[in-house]
Amino acid sequence: MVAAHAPIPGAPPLTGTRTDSVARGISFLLPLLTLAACFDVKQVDPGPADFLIDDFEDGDTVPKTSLFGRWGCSTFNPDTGQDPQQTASCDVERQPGDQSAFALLMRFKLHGGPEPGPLYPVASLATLTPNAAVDFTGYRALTFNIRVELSDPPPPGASFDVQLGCNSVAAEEQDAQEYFDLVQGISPTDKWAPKSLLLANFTQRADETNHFAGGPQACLAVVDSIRFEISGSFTSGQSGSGVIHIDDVRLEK
Amino acid sequence: MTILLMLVVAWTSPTRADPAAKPALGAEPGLRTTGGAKEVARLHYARGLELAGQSDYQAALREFTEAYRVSPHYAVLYNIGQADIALGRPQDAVESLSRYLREGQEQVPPARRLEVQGLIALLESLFAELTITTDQPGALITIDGREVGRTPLYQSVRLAAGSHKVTASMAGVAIFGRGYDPTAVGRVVTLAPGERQLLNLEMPAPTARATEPEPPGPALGVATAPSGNVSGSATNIIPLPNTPARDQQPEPIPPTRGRARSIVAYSAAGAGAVLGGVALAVYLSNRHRYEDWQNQNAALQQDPGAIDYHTRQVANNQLADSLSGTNHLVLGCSLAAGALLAGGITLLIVDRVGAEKEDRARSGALAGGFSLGWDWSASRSGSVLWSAAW
Repeated sequence: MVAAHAPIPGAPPLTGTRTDSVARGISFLLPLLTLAACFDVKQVDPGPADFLIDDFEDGDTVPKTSLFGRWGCSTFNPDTGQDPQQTASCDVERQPGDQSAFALLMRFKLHGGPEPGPLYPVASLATLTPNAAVDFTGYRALTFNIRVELSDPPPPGASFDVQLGCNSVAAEEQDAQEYFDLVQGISPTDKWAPKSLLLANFTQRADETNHFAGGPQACLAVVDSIRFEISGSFTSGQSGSGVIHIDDVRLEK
Repeated sequence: MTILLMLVVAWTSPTRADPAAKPALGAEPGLRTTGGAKEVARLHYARGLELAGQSDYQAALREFTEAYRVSPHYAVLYNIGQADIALGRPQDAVESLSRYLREGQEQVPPARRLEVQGLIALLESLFAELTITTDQPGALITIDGREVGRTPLYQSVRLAAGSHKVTASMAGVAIFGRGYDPTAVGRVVTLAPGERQLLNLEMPAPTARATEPEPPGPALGVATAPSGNVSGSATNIIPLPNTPARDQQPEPIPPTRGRARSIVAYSAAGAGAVLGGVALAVYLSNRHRYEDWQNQNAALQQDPGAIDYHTRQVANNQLADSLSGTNHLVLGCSLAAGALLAGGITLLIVDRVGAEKEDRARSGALAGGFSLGWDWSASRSGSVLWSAAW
């Protein structure tokens, strides 16, 4: 029976040599073309999920991430007029950390002025963003290890908190307020202890009436500073001092 | 069949030259030829011989036919007959050779006459007869693409042994052509040498007709010689009344092994083409994702300390995973497409080669029945000698 040997209607007749070549060409060329056309992708190690701000193991006060600048010390106290020096001072040194070679410390000394009323001197250990603000919203918590050594007697009314500054956030009321931040208090001890502060628990100070447009989340999206702060409630003649140790500051997923 | 007929040419080659032809030119009574016409005919004839020597039998046939038209000489009919044989036209060959004997009469040498008579008998023994009827009159019958006439056909059709495609169409469009004719039915009929068959075709219902049939006309005989011409094969003739049509059922054409193989081949090639298209479409539709991955990868490499580096890298790795999956899909589809295409085409080649072998085998079997002892290579090399009529 030879009934099936008619060529394809409308198609040029197949000749043995040509079709053979075509078949070979297709069978060999197509996979090669396919290999050439494959997407050249590779997996890249994304690194740890947590974002390390600084573990201080490099022995300097420059954070591991370039998003934040050198750690620094700052004070705030009303000028008493009788003390030409700052009424509060701090220092940064490298000391053995929590299960690591280095940690960051701040020595501080706070005292009240000559005025009879209460004063609220503050010392803080801070890092600021040198360029753009940083978006913390992709993270769940700010974690760090902390240890505090206080003088005897301790500074009166001493309290500790962590502040996330966000000066570029839009305020609901366009008044003259220059500084916005979110605050969360901590209770350090004289032993190294890990702290994990949920970012969702950071709130604006209760005494601030000008709120952010968008709430705390708006501030977390444009963080421009991290501050570890100690403050006290001093009357005239009172003073206090101490050392704050900080290690392994991270943002946790 | 063509090969067989070419072999016949080779077989007859020892007595190809017609010694009686040259002196007879222009001497035959009744021929109104001029000296110029003879010269023209001679030129055509010489050209025909040259072309035949080059195995260009079609062109040679044209030249011989033109030579005969310009200056009819019975000897040219011998060459025309051989060209017909070489071209696989046994019916035309029988006609030409019969005319050769008829017109040459006693001028044909006895040895040549015997040879030609034997050749005619051999050719006719390869014929079979097919009687075609339809349940409705007016159907245009086509055999192997040649129109035979409209039913009722008043004569059986003489055909060379082998397979033939028979179509009947009320609209006159063969289904084996490019178009589809809903009014047509088609059959493939295989005839053995000397066999007679009756083929009754049932036409589609009138509602399915695209056009009204033309009134039945006389058959255009392809082969109108009476069956008695099939000499030497009487025992092979099957009486018509007792011959049930081998292919009585109309549509569809009964699948043969070759047809099934062709269907598989075309299906495989088609599936391969589709899969190849799918692979290409998948690849093209994912190119923008790949560009996204490249851009993100470059950005991450430039800023490994970004606050959201981990998140973005994880997302980019997920994209890479997806693209790797796409790679597998494209590769799998392409390999399958290549295999199917190559397999389909290979099947087509095998099908074609098998068909040729089948034809050759059948031809060889038929030729062997006559103990012809062909020399295929000699015939193929164009060593056929032609009658030098002028």
